[in-house]
Amino acid sequence: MILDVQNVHKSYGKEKILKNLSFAIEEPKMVALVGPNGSGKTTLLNIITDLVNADSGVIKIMNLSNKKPEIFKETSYMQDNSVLYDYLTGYDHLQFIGDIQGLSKQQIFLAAERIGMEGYLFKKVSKYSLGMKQHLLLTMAILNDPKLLILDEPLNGLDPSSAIRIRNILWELYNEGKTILLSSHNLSEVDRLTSHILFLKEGHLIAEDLSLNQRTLYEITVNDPRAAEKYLENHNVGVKHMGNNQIAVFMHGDTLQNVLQSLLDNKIKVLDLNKKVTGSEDRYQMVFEQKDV
Amino acid sequence: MMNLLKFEIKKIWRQKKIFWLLLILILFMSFQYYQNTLHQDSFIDRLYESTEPLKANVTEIERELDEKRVNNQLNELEKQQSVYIKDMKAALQHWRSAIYSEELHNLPQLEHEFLKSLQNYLNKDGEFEALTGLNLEYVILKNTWMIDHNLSIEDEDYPISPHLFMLETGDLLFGVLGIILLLLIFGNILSIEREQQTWFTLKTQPIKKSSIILSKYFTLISMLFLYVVVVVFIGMLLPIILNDHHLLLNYPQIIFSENKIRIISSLTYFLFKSLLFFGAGIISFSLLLLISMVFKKSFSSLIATFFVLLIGHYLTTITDFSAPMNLFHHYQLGDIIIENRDIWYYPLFAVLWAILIVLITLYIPERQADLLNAQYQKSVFNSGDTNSKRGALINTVIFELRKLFRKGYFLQVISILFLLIVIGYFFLNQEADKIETEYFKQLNDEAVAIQEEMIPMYEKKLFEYEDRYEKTNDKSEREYIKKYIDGTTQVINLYKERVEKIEKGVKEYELGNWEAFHELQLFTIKLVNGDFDESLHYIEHNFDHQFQYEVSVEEKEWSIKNNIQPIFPGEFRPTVHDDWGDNPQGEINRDAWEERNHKVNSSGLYTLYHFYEYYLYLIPLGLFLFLLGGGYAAERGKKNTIHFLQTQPISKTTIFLGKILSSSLIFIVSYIGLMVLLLFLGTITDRFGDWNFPILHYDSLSSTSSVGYTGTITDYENYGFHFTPLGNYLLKCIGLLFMLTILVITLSGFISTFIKNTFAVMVFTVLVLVSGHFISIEYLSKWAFLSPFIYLDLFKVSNGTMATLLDQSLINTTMGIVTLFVSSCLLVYFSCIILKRD
Repeated sequence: MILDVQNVHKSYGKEKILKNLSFAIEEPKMVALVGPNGSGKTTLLNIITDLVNADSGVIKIMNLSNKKPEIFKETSYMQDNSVLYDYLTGYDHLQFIGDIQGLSKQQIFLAAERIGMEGYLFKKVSKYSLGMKQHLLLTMAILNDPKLLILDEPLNGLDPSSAIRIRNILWELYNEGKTILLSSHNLSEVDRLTSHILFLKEGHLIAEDLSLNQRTLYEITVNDPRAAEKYLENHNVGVKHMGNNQIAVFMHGDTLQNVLQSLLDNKIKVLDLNKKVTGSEDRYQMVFEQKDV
Repeated sequence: MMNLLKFEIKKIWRQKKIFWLLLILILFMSFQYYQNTLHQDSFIDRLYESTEPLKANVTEIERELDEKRVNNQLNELEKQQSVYIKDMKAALQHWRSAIYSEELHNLPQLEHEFLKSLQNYLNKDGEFEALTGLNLEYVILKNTWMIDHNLSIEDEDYPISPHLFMLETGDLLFGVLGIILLLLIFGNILSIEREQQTWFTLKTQPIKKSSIILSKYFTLISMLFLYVVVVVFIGMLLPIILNDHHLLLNYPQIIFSENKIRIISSLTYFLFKSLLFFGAGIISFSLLLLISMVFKKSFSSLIATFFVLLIGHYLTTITDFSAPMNLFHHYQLGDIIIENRDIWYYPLFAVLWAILIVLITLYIPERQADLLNAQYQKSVFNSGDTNSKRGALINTVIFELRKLFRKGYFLQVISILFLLIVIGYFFLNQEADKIETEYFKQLNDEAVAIQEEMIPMYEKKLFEYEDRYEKTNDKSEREYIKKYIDGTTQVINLYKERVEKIEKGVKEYELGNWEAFHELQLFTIKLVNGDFDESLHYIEHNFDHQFQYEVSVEEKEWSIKNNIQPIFPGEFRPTVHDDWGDNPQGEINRDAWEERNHKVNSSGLYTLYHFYEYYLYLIPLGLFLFLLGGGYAAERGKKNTIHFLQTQPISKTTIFLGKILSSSLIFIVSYIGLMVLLLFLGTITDRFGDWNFPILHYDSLSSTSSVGYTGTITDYENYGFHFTPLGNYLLKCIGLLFMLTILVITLSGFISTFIKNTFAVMVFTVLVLVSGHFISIEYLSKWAFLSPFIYLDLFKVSNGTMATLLDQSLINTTMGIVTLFVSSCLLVYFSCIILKRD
């Protein structure tokens, strides 16, 4: 068991943030924790890493209680940049981790190079931009080659090229067999990284493997949408008129080839065709905004 | 401008600074008031006791006059004195009865009756030792004022009335302490903007730089005004609410200077004080803003401001430049009121100074290069190598030290302390030389005066006596004259002996032989004490301090025995057992005597002694507490850096211990550095000093009465003493100081486990230390030795003063070291428990 969270409760005053929350990660995978602002994502990550005490519940990391500092030999937690000492250099932070975790100078430089922060490693953090600080935080997180990597908004403040680089690094880490638990607001980035989503809604978790529930739809522009809707009723698909001669076809069991053949057989002209896969953003809307997609 | 002002005040409000200010003031004043109420039960007793010397004096005079009356020796004047002394006795009796029955409102009138009789008695050439000079003037002035304004007697030592309590707290809070408090709370108003780069946010708005600075300055003045109002308000309100007292703003305030006395109303005194404080405040804030424009960091700005004020204060003191033109003289509020020198000019000059400094601030160019510099690369520690073999605790300590180094504050603090020490030592050296030169000049003048004036005068007298003796045949007259001849001969011999000892002492001193010089001083002590012949009146024999006499004699004997190089001035060693009378004149006499006999020396060891004697060790303690005292809180504020440490494989206990150890290490190493510097300066410019120089150690009554006591038991109420070699004494002080610093660190660390605000942690640490010290002295009585706070005054602990005053022989250095160590361990233990539960 990599991470086991059982019956966690957390309240701040009268406000209940987490309600009897449980989930487990048994095998290496990349999991995204998604929820609106103030839903308790960071609180949950802080509870997992024992930075904040839960009111009740049990958490185990690699079968060890999360209360034991030893968990951080194989776990890293990338937090927001308020944990950085402004007056220290990036290298000072990494050197301390090296001292504590028994890592060499070469390992520090390799990690920094992997993230791409060699150029400003010896400057004080107070001189760093937001993106540079994210790079440092990520370097600190990967430095000890952890089995479990917990990341709080890892792509915040990164420019597109940095974001692509970090995304690739996360993929590399995942392919190396690491488990990654990340929180993010950026749902399109989440879609690019993983299909394993934990929606945090009103203190409860809704776990989804979007790859199992993924639905494909085709937006087809035809010359007669009413007729097309009628002819496709006999197929194992869902059809919805979208307006402007466009219909949305949800593929339940039938194939695209059958659908197009049927339209052609009924003299309906296909003017345009777009394929869409429902992702985390659509599920997010379903879960949090009650929209039927 | 108004919008900016509102914005600034809103920021201060949001930062909860006003809350902290109010909390500190309320806590401080409530505690002070509570203390005063605790002493109210003894007020009548104290008042009654204060009339005891009068009663004793009246009784004695009455007895003497009665004796003469019985022997029919009363002359006309004495007969009249006899009448008035009886009036005095009767008036005193009425007065004391009224005190006993707590008729406080009648007391001024009854005291007046007594003073009237006393005046009549004095007019008849009577002498009344219990009330003379300034004391008499003070009593008469105050009594007249009390009657004119129809006032009752109040407890002025522990006031609980609104007007007197307000003055008592005002004396403390409207002084340097108040300025320090305000600077500490609001001092980062400008530098924090530059530090956190919000300065650019302000500068990218359509606002002039001058408006930003002025709005900040006016905000500071608003806070100063708020502070004054709050102190006045709480000072008045607490007594009114809790004790239903009336506000009497015409209650008299007596102001003593060296040879004059003035009386003003409480309202006038308080207005003077508030106005002067306000003046000092606006100067301080203008200086702070100016310095904040030069330094980028809040810490550096504050330290630099304090440094400038300290140097200014010191230069003002030594140059005696006491005028409103000197901006640093504005901080000597008490002196200005006492001297009554151009008092109304001070607020005016304060405003002019403030305007001038603010104008400079507005036009001074900013150090923008530092603000925008993003290129600077820092060197790495230990060539960038890592070392996990050291263990988590040592690595955490090293990390804490690296953090301190990177912050740069440590070097600033050390540089400032270094400067202070060098400058301070320079003045000490000058002062020591001056005192030594003056001492020898006085000796020389005395020898010349004796040889050229006194001996010839007495020889002439002797010649006249001898001539009369030869010429008279009357046996009784011859006997009478013979007495004079013998006496005068003895005086001449004493003078000759004195001159001889002076000449020998000085000559031998120049040759580096100290014994003759100590013999000279020993001779002087005995002479002043009247050991040779009380009737000679060679020097007025009014020296009446038995304990001091015995100490001074033994000190010289010790110095002779151990061949100690003399330290100047004064032959005497003033002590805590010297009774100068509990009255203003007594205080003045005590101060003058202590100043005359206060030894100053710039040798290495004795400079270190001054470091403890003048409580200078508290300055680094305060600065380091300011630098390192945040403990956990410093990492749990807006910057939550503690989470970085807590997500490493190290326990919270290790992190805490790492902080405690690193801070203790910094404290102790810095103290060692500072003391070595003092020793070094003393040694190269003067000499190392005598390890065996005698340092007085008071022994408590309980220890002098114990079996096997080896010190000297004096004739003064059986109090005892012994001497400790200076070197040993310093080692004791150093041992206590090290343990004390560890206690301060662990205490602030402990407080930081449950308070997240760094400033609040520091304030609470200081409050706990000071109130703990006070409570230990006042209330713990026989258990005081177990309180770690009692050892805060390590100078008095190491020389036995504390043990003697509390009659607790267990209050000593060894017990102090053990108590401080155990207390620190307990604090660490409880902190770890709290952290584990957190």
